[in-house]
Amino acid sequence: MGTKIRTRLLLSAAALSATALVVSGCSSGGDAGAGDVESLNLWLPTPFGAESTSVESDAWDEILAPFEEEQSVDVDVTLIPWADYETKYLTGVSSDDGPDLGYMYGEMMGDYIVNGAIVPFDEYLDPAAVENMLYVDQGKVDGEQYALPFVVGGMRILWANMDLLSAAGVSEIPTTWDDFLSVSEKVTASGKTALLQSWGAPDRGMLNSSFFPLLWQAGGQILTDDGSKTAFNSEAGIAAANYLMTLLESGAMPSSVTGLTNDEVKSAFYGGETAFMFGTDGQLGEITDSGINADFIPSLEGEQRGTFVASDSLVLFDACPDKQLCTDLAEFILSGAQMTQFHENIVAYPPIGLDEEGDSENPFIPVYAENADILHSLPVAAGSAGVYNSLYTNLQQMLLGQKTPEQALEDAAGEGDSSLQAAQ
Amino acid sequence: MIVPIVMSGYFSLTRYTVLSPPQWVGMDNFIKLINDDAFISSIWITLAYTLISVPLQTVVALVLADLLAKRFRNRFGSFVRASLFIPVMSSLVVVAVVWRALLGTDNGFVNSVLQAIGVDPVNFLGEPTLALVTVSLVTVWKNIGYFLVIYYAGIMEVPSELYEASAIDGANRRQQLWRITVPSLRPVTFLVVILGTIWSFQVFDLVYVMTGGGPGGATRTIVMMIYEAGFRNFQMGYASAMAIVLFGVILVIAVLQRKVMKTSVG
Repeated sequence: MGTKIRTRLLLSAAALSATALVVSGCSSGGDAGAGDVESLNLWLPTPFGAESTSVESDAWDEILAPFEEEQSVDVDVTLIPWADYETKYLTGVSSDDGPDLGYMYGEMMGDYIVNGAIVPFDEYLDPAAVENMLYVDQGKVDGEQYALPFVVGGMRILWANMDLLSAAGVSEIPTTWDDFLSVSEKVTASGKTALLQSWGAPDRGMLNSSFFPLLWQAGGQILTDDGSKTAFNSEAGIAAANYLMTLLESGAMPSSVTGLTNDEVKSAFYGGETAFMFGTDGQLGEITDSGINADFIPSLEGEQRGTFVASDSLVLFDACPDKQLCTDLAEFILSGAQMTQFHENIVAYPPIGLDEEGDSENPFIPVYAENADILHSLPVAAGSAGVYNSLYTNLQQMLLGQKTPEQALEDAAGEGDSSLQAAQ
Repeated sequence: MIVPIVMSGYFSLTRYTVLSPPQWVGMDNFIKLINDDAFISSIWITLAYTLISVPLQTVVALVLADLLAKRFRNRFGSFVRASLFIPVMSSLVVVAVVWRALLGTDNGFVNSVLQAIGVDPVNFLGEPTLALVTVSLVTVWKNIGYFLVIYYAGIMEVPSELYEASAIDGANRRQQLWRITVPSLRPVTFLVVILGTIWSFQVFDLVYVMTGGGPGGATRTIVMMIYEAGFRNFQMGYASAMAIVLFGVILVIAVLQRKVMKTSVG
């Protein structure tokens, strides 16, 4: 499960950069002795899923209190809105005002690894804690434990409004690309919108639900295995892009999607205005509250099945004054008692450790287990942010009729390869 | 002020990821810029945005200020001026979020009104040209109050004898505006145009929140490009090169406008 990128260049550059930092005196200057550290900075995103940031802030204070008491250390939690997440990290870390322990998603990590800003956990980890972590291998980059998976969830799924399907004479959710098209035609003929996607969203995150699953379903991949080049400009990539265009041209998806945001799509689905939405398992509560009769499948099937799952992790910063203590904090957060609180009070994701039972009423727990082989996360590679930004812009241009699928993918691949090359 | 400019100049000649020390690359970033279609496109987009917003906000602010100064020098006029100044005091991010919601294709207030009167919904932020025009118009809405206050203060300084004499000579209000107010306010207009142009070239927050530079890069202005290169793609050296070009462009425009205004006054 998940995509792990191995790049020798990346490792070499990481080593070189780390050496350069030490030589130039920019490193933290070694660990402080145990007990010398009075506080640790922990940076986390918000909102995860609670109704407000203040609720999440209070929940984190409660979760971390036992660690603070036991270790006699203050854990200063900084909650950063998703929209500013990457900028805040970049400015914070570059001005030596960043976290000691932080939460990162895969596509963020590569650049920080190459530049030596985050370091492996390996030498500080307790083997018993590692044994407890279900997805620990997903945190390995170039064989080293740069990340400890914290959230393995947010699976992208196809939500369907069953009442709208019934009104169109359809009793089951379509499971293949062809079925989806024919059902969408029936829904459209019944006077309803079949599918909405947020191609007007200001940021590229929507690709995780609206393009990458199609790419994987067509048998393609985003980057080459070594992470040095883009791989989406392939037969599979063009098939995925063509399918998107077919959805648009057949009327399954209205042309207004180029102006829609995630919130607008969700609002339309919850309001019963569209039959399908590519969303996440985390929307179950909102969908239940909306009162619509909804069902889901994890993935459509093209050449194969495949969808996105977030695999976000805790990472150890070189700036941490006591890396053992920071690692202890990571292990504490990721242990069963704390994760149970996190999943109960902040967001209902599946367990990530053996010592957490999980919510038996969460219908998605078995879905993750049954579909483990079709779940993909984004590759870790320096410069990948540029790849995704470029791909998003070019696919928007394709949907606006400014480029063919072939042109869009070729241009995106060219720009993406430049970004990857520049970062290495 | 000098230090950031010098530092940007230095970084523009380096490969700088922010996370590691800069490496000298000479003019490479500038050579790359010349061949970067996205950057060239962002210059045209910024120019188009400027050409829509600056003339419109200048003319509307002048006409409104003249109207308020001549006809509504009372409580109603004060209320209108205060109301038009509220957007100026509001955070650009808040303005952008509110307008984004108002202009939503599905269930946005503006489209709901349009549909109520039988007009098909308009994809304000999802069509390339329309998105740029829409963002420009929101900018005009945001800036008018500020320039109106400047024009209003300027109009109050124009000697009333000029208007009285012209009225005796039979000039109507339009002729007074065109023959007395506009020429008398040339220095003020110069300030308004210069400020409007510089602000337009620096636009970021509004675009970032309303469209993120989309759809398909249609509203990706120069500063948006700089942000993406520096803070999303870790190419701060390249971003600095763009910033230096932007600085040069603004400098040239300011000098040209000053010359034009001087010639015009002369």
